[in-house]
Amino acid sequence: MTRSLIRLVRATLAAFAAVSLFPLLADAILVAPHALYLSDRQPTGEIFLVNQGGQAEDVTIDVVFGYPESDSTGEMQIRFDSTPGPDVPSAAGWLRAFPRRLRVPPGRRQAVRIQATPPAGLPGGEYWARLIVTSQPARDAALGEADSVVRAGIVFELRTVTSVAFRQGAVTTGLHLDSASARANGDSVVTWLALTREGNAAFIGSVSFELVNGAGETVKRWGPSPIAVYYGVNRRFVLPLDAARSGAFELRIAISTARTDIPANVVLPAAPLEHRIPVAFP
Amino acid sequence: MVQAQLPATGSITISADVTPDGLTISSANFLNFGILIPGTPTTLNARTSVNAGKFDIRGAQRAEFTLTLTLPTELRIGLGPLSLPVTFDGTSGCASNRDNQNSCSTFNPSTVLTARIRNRVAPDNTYFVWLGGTVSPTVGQSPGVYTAVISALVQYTGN
Repeated sequence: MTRSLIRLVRATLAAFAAVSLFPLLADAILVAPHALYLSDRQPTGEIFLVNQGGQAEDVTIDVVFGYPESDSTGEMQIRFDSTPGPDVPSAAGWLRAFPRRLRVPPGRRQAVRIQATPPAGLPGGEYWARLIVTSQPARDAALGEADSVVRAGIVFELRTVTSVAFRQGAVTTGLHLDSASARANGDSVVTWLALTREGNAAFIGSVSFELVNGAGETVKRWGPSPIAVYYGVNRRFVLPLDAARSGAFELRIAISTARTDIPANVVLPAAPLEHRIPVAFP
Repeated sequence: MVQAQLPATGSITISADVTPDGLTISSANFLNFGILIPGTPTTLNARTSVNAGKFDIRGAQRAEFTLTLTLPTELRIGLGPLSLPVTFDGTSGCASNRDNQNSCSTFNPSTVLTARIRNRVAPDNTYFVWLGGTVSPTVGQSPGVYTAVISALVQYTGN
C-alpha cells in the first residue's frame, strides 16, 4: 500500500469524523474466500466482497508479499514485505485485482477478479501474496465548522487480509517435525512444536491433540485447528484442561492436510505426521 | 466456497452460498472522547467505558487470527497544524470472544493480538475487541474537533 493512499484514506476518514462526531456505524465487508489458489493452468480467480453493513462501503484492494510465521513467543504473525527480493517466492508483483477500487452497496456482494501474469520462464513452485482489503463508509468528505469547545475522537480504518497462492508446474509439500515438547502447567498443557516445511509449496493443514490416560482412554481432545507452514515455525499451543488431572498421561499430536475451509482440489497431499509425548501431572 | 460466477464488477443480492469461513471485521463504535476540559486528561477505559472503540470480528469457528492496530500519537483538526496528544498503555485494549465488555481481558494494543474465533456457529462465531486511550489537552488547547485514524488489520494465521 502506498503512503499516499494511506494519507488519502486517513484524511478522508478524519474529515468525515469532523463532520459528525460520532455516529454509530456498523461497517462490515466480508471477504471470501479467505484463501485463493491460482495456477499456470488457471491464472484467474475471484474473491467476493459482501457488504453486511447498512451503508455503502468504499473498498480498496492491495497486493503485497507476505506469509505467516511464528515469533519468539510461539505466536503466529504475518510477515509483510513490500519490497521482496528476488530470492523469495513473491507473486505480489504480477497479481492484479480488477477492479482495485470499488463501492459496495449495503446488502450486496461484489466480485473482484484476481489475475496472475507471471513472468516468462518462471521456475516451478508456489508463489505467495496477500490481498489487503481496506474498507470505509462511503461518504463525502467535508470539514466541519469551527467549534467553541475541544472535542476528540478516533475513527477506524478496517483492513482484512486474505492469502493468494500461485502454483507453477508441479508442486509438492510436506512437513518435518524438528522437535516437540509438552508439559503440564496448572490448568493447561503447554506444547511446543518446531516444524519445517518440505517440498516447494506451503503446508496447509490442521493439527489435533489428544490427552490419553494410562488406560489408553482419551480424556480430552483439542482441534482440529488450521495450521500453515510456509518455511518453518516454532509454535506454542496452550491446551486448556476442563478438569484437574494427576498422574501420567500421553499427549498425541496429529497433523494432516485435512481442511474443511479450503476446497479439496487445491489441498496438496502430504503424509500425515503423528507424535506422542509423555505428560506428567503432579 | 462461493459457487456463483459473477462478472468482475457485477453486484447481486447476497445469497446463502457465501462461505461462513470468510473473515469480517466491523466497527461498532469509534473512540469518542467527547468534549474535553483544557488542561485535564481524559481516559476511556477499554473494559468499562461505553465510549470505548469496539470491533466485531467474525470468521470460521475456532480459527486463529491476528489483529494488528496502528495507533496514532496525536489527533488533529482536519489536516491542519493543531494537535492533541493521545496515548495507549498496556490495558488500553480489551478482548473477548463474547460480547461482554465487563469481562474482557485487557491487552496492550500496540502489540499483535493473536486469538481464536468463538467455537460457535454463525452468528455466534465472534470475537470482540474494545479500545480505550488517553487524550491530554493543554490548558491553552485551541477549540475544535480533533480526530485521528486507527488502522485495524485482521487476518487468519492458518493459510
